[in-house]
Amino acid sequence: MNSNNRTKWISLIAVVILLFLIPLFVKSPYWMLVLTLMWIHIIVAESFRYIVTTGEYSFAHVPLMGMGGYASALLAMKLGLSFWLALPLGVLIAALISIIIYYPCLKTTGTFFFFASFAFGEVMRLCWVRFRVPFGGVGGLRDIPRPDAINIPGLPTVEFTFLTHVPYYYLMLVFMLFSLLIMYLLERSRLGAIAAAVKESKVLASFVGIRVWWYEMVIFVIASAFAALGGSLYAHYTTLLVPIEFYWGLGIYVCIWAVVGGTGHFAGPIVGTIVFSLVREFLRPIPQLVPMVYGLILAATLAFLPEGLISLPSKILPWIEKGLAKVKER
Amino acid sequence: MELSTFLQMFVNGTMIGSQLALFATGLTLVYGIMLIINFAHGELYMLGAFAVFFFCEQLGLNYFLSLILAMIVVGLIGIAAERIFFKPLRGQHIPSFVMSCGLAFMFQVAAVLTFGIKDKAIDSVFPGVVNILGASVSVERLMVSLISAVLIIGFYIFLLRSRYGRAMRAVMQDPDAAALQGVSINQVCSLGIGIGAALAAAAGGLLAPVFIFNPWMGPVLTWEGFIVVCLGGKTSLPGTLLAAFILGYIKSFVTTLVDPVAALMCGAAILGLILTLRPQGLLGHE
Repeated sequence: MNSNNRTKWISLIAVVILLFLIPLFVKSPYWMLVLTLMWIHIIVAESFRYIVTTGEYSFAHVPLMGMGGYASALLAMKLGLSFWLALPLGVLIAALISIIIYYPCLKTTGTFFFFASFAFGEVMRLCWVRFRVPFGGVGGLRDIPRPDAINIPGLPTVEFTFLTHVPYYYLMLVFMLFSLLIMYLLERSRLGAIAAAVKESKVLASFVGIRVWWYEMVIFVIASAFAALGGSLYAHYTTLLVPIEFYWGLGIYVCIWAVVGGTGHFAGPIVGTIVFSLVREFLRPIPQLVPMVYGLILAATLAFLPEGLISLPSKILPWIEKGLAKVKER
Repeated sequence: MELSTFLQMFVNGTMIGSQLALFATGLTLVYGIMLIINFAHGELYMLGAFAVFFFCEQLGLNYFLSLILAMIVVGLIGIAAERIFFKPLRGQHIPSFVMSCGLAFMFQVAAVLTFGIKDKAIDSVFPGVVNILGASVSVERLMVSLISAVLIIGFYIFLLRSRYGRAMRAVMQDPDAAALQGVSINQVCSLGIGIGAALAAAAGGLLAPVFIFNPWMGPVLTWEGFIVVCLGGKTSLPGTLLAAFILGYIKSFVTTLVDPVAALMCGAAILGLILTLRPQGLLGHE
């Protein structure tokens, strides 16, 4: 068991180092853009799964991601704050708003929570469309300031401009690894154990003295804050925010990434996001077929791998072992 | 506000309401029988409009014959989809929801590949305008409401009077008890989704001569359908009818008097408030 754990850690560190080395090999700006956006999507999908650890599916997730983007963009544009200050403040504002959204949904569970969070998220999104004055209406916000240059004495200045892709890549990568680490530690902590108990049975959890609603809200707010982080990074990367992007279309995609990847395992949403992003990129010449392929992957996964794509190796390995044993027998 | 404006809004609201009633009845059936949050229902509506377009414009059949053929074809598509895609996931909320999203993608692509991405339209079937109390109301919109009403009444007679209708109501109340009484769950599931799909196709086919349509018009209606289902009480069919007309009138009046975005906001706010304040809906029970 111990050596197994050690190989796991070594391979994990190797993957992280590889991720940091990618810009040395990939020179195409297009692929840098794809990867950069993928890191943001992984933050969002993983935080979506973090709510699922309590057994609930939130559909206010993508609107709250947008809220993070709008909050930090408006702080940077109207108050002239630096990106490095607007980002945490924007995340904080979105987290506070997520409490306002979650509070009325307190008593709802299951499908009811699904629809109620859907509804309140949609009301928030329509506010951005309706109120032109701070939010810019249908056209959204444009010319959102890019992150300020990082100036560490003794090192070359890192600038974020229209043409620099590599700094953005590292920015998103670092934020993604940071978010994943925090969510992993939270899941391993007492909070994660409580979430598992709540998922198993709310009634039983309340019998052993767990304040179910409080912990559910805490987890919802933490997860929404990570979604808002993703949204804020997205806003300052693309410098453009349009309400239609946070339509429930993206919410459905996030749900698909997480569920098809496998919500039962921490790495599930990461696998789901990577697989679906790469499928889209490889089918770039025939874009009209992409949804069809998505649908087929999704249907096959749900029918044959109910635990998600993450369970594929554990399903296939026994087969291979059996096959090898047969070969040896001969 | 003048009487004629009011009447105009009232007629529009009735038409939207009758469409939503046709559409959401299917959603309620599918949710009530199989507990599936069927996001592909709007795509069945879209396929209904395209099927009418195919039979009516491309094969040159009569409009009413095309409508009936479209209902049959889309009903069969619904049954096939249930057999292939939803059966392995029966009873699992979120996986079946995700599956229905995948199904919606596939239907959209199928429609794009078959009919192209351009907006389509069908020639008006009931041209002309009548003058009621100073308001000019198109005959088309009145006829759409009328045919919808006939279809809904027909469905209710089937539901209340026939053996299969009784089996369907029994499964909606308690699937296990119904199965113990000898009701075939598989049969009822097929029947439920078939009728639901046919009613959605009828809604699409009826609106085809009134509005233009394209392969992406489904999801918007699905969303409104879910507002209706939740407002009416999830598994309550009379509640669905009531909620459909309430939402239809709200949409019509708010769109005219304020603006379309406010109407969307009203819909979403109603959904949120009804779920948090009265989760069983208007006519449902816990």
